[in-house]
Amino acid sequence: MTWAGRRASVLCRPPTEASRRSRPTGRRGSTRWRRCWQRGLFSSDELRDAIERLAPEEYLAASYYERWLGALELLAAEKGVP
Amino acid sequence: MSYPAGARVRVRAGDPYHHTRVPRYIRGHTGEVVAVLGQWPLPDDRARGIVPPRVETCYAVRFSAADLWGSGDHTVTVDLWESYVDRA
Repeated sequence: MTWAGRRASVLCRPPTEASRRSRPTGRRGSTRWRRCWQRGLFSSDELRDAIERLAPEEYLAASYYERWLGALELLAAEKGVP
Repeated sequence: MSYPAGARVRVRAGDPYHHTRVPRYIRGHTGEVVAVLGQWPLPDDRARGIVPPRVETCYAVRFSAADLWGSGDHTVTVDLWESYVDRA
């Protein structure tokens, strides 16, 4: 398998129809972010990088998924996602 | 340079300004390659949006907890890209 140029990975692979049916709560509010993944707007490593760039007080006060959310907001702002 | 299972490797002790997957607690420490994991894109490049990223061999490297922290009888295994290590 060649990975050169590929920007999606396991972490950002969009859910399949089957996995969405098995996890109904996963559908709520996630469409916009799933589109970001699907369009290759950012990679899983960019998300990790963004998590590490959160303000220390924000990072330390946040739960695991709140850190994801903060990083997604940071990336969206930096990349000009409307 | 590639490393077979069983090779001893030392983690480079650098402190890059950008994202990397090398935890600070293993930098400068020596471990043993326990598995060769194939070719994977370098996270340092992907995090910076460099297209195409460098693609390197990735290794599972095992460290002694006592070596890392001075105590403990367990081990810690970390996935490391080729450019993160040198032969010990």
